[in-house]
Amino acid sequence: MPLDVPTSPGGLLWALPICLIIASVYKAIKLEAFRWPLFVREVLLLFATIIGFLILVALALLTIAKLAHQV
Amino acid sequence: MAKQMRSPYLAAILAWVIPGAGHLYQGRRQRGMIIFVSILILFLLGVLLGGIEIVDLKNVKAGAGEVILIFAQIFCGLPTLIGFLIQNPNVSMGVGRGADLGLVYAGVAGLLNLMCIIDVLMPVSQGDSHQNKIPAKG
Repeated sequence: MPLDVPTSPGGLLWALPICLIIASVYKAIKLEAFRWPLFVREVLLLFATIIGFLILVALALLTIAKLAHQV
Repeated sequence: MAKQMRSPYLAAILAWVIPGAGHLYQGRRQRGMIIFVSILILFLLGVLLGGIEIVDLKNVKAGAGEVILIFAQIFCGLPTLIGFLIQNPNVSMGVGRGADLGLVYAGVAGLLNLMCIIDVLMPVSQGDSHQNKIPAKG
């Protein structure tokens, strides 16, 4: 049976694990020379970048929605 | 001493059957373990969210996006096969956000493993070159 995922802002937290795993697999492949400290730093940087751009897109969509609502 | 590369084709097959196994075979142990753990966690989270029924090709009656995600699971290899075999064939995929998210998780796990399969087929980077070579026989 599928898990009940609420349609609340809390439900959006399910985007975090998938972003973290995408970042870790991508960096595991793409790092030239593998060292754990470098790997962890690069994964966190990529993860933060993905989340940052997700927030930016969300803010842009929110702005567009508010503008469209006012017109 | 003459060196030869480990077979990239065998590595690709191993990577398809067990995520990360291709990298382990090529001697890139840390990368292989990270890929194995990451893809398995993503796949299992997908099954936890959507139920084991998300791993079922008979569900290909949905929209184009869902069809791509269902087929993408094939690239996970053994985890997908096990999920396919242990589920009840009379139960269809559930509906709702949990099932949709589970499908996305399992599909992305398959697509990430496809990326890893392609990676083991590519020439090895400088940083790993010493790990990917085995002494030639004779």
